[in-house]
Amino acid sequence: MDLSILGMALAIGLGAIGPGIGIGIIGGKAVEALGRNPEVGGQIRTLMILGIAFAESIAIFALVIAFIAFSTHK
Amino acid sequence: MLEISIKPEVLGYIGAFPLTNAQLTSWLSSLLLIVVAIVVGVNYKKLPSGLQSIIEMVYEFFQSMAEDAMGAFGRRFVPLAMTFFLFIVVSNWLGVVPGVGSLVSIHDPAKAVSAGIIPFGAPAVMAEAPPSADATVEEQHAYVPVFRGGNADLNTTLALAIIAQVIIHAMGIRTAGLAHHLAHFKNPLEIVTELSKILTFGFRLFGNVFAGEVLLTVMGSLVVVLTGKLAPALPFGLVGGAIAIPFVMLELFVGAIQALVFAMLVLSFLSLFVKTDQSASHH
Repeated sequence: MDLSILGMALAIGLGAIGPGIGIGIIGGKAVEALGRNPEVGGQIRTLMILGIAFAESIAIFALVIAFIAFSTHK
Repeated sequence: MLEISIKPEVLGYIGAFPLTNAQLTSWLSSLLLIVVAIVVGVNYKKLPSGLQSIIEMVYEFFQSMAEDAMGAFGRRFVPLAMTFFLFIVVSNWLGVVPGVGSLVSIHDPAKAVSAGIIPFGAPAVMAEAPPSADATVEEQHAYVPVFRGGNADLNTTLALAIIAQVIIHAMGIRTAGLAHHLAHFKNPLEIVTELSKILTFGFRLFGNVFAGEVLLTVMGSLVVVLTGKLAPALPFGLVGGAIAIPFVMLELFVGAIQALVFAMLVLSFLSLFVKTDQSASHH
């Protein structure tokens, strides 16, 4: 079995764990905050999207590494 | 079987400069935006309708966001944020238009046909060899896509990121003065943070768009991959296309969100460095 394929799968698979948890926490807390004071919903949504974008970019880095591993294996 | 390339493919050469398919699509989206701007500007009405009202909605959205970040002073950064947003969203959406990525220019007809490409129309334009001998010759693909989503190329997104960071710091120096601006960097780690912002800006956009393109490619060819039969025939194409439809919608959403995030981050990073008169009186 080609180890670089395994490396690619591991890179994105392991790299997605942290951001997945992080995005879950951000989304949950945002909904919590929205429940407490719905009048600032717009601001919360904006901040939530920003926070998710930051957390998500970690997973995207892992994805880029995975693609690099994939494209250099030949 | 699936040809996935991180690099944009070179279509031809203008002088010594390679013209890539991502570059071509970026120009196309710029052209589209210019045409829309001219059409809206020429047909300007006091009571907006149609296209003008959409543009004004986007403008008002960014105006309120800039005012949230920097007060009335932030209004001068609305055009900047909106330019980033519009360019990125148009390039991202151009990336999922049928034909972008699937329309190919054939270099090696025999290999391309055996890979399932259906040739039609005029004979393909060959990418000419680079004019100077020392220019590196790319490995010759059997076929290259004519269009490629502009942000599915790391060069485009890094360029956008560098433009954003340079403007953020230039505006910081201009509004707060050089001495005050440099005071942000008493801790040398801050310099690393600023440099890494270029990377995160660039990689976030590139990663999202490129991953989206790969996702669409995989979903569109899912039937072919699963059955192991390379069938360019109509039924497989239709099934693949039907499977890809929900993901196309996802990509439209992601494309808009990423453009929004980019513009929002530019505004919020600007507010870290730009000194506004209002913020001095508020705090």
